[in-house]
Amino acid sequence: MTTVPWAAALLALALPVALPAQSYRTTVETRRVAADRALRVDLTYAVGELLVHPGEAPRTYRLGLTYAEDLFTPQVRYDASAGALTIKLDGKSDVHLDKTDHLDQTLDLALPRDVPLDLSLTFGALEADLELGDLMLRSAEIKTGASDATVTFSEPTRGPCERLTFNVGAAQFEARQLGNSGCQSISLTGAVGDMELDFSGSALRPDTKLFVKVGLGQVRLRIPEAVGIRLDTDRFLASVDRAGLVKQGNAYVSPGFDRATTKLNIEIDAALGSVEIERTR
Amino acid sequence: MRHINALTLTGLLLALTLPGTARGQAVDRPPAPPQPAAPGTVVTGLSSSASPTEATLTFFLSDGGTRVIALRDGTVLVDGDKVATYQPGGDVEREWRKLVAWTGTLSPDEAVAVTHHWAVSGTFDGQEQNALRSLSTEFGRLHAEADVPAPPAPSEDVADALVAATSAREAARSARAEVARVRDEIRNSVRVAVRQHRGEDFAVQEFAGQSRFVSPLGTVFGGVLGLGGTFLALCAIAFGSSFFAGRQIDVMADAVSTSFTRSFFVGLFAQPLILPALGAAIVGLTLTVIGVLLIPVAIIGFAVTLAAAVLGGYLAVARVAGSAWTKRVRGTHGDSPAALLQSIAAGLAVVLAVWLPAILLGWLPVAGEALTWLAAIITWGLATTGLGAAVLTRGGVRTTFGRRFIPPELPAATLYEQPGPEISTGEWLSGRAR
Repeated sequence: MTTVPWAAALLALALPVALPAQSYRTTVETRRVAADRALRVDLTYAVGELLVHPGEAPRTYRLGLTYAEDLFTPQVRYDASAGALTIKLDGKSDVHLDKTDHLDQTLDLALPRDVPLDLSLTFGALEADLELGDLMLRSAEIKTGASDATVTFSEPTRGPCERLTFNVGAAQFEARQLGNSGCQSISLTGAVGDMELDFSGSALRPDTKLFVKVGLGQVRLRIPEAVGIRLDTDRFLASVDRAGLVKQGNAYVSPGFDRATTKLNIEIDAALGSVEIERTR
Repeated sequence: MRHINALTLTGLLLALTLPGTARGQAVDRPPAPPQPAAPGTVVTGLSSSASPTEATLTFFLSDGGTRVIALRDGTVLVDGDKVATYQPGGDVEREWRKLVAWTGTLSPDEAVAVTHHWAVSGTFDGQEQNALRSLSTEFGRLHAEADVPAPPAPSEDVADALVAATSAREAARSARAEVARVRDEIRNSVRVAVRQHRGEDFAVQEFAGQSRFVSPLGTVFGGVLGLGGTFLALCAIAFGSSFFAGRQIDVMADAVSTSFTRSFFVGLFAQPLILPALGAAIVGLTLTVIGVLLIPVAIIGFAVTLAAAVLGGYLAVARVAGSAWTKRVRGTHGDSPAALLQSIAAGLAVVLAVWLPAILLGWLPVAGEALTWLAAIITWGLATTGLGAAVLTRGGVRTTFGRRFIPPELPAATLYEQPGPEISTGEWLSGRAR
């Protein structure tokens, strides 16, 4: 009887030998884009680490992709006439994404700094680090699933950004230095998870609009004291910490709101989550 | 900057490949025309990709076309056409892989300049000389958008070091994946070993090409224990209910007994209305403004009521089944409280017995699943009938539905007795009944 556990243990050691090893493939693509038009980037990436940042070469994007070639098929298409770059990493038909958590895939995308950009980035179960500062950003829509994502604007963007949208699922999400984004309208839709928006930076528009819609998540807004705040809330059972704002009509405003040179108009629609406003120096 | 350095390193390390099986171009692209590039056409982009059996450079041209140059399994391919051959693993392939890795770090203009100056030193046979000539010819057809000097090539030592580093990096990726697999397999195997040590039997079940040990005895034993626990729990609930809601269960049982089909369909049609009813209740409370505060209480109350209706109905069905069983065995189902509990217990044993085949044979690949589904459907049907009976009898409160109400039979002598003048007829009858 005692030999049986040993046999099982030996079997355990032998099994991995029979299993196929995961094979990774690395592809690097460098490409110059059309000079006379904006670039729309559609990226869909499900599993692995995602890095997005400004590139070095003018009018050139660079894509580095390391992926499990037995499980995924990359689709990378640049349409010069439409000014559209589409990047997808599709799972093959027999791949179950819930069993790919041990994969070590990486997508590294360097974007041109001197081309107007419209970004649509959708990513799932992964770690994402997006540096969008110093880009000529026109609009960006970022959708995250069950991920740990950070979006940073380390430097002011170059172009007039009209719209910045975050759509967050069950995730840990953080947007840093949004004051450098220069976007006219910023919106966050969050389902479940911890989300933090930091508005430090030097390029916040004088009259920026922020829309926050949260389901069960917890949202923290970190806003410099120099920025005037006007807050409208529509909530069900959610809690909103107003951080010293005073009621003015149907809204709440920060002291000295009318005199502030930079104003942030916030609309919060919260169901069961919580929203906290923290003033920073 | 960290990202840029990482990407540059990735490109430099492209020459290194993992053991694998994939072939062909990794990135899907439309097929390129095989003709030489038209005059004035320049290179606007570059893709470099490598695997154990191939290394490919794809040049994107300003006219929308591509030029794909690949060394694969001893064959030089240009846009998919075989133009030469080479010795796999030889000097040509080694130098080609270095070129692919290097150009991955360069701009398109720099990459074109590098290919124009690409030279491989060494002694080659006619086959490999032909391959090098073919590659040089193809490179000569490519033109940069801007003439830039070719950057200096990395030294041999650097290239070798990068190759070694890349190998380690890629191996680490595979190793991490393997560690995860091994960890899971060892956990499973340890469970098997423990069970086997206890003397349980084993069967081998094929799963996606892997052998996985499953103990049917353990599964059956656990299932039987679970079923027994469910039986005892329901019996305990029935025991408690006999004190507080015995009459209601009796009334629902009568509804099941006399209107089984009607009870089933009422329960069936009630199920899709459960959530709308809850929603309507919430909306109604919300409209009253002050009622918003009661919404959590209403949700909990609704859930408790629903659970009580389903459970009570299920016990009522068991009561009917048990009564039929005991009457068949003993000739009577009895009227005492003990007999009531006995009949419910017997009925629960009957209605839960439908799970026994599923538990005993559930480990069979196809039949087990079918039996499980069958048991689930039967249980759902019985619970639906019980729910319908609960709805019809308003939870056993409405006695006039199922139970044919028969007034207590009075002794014949009573019919001829006359009430005294000091009390009313109703009071007199009540007193007689007591």
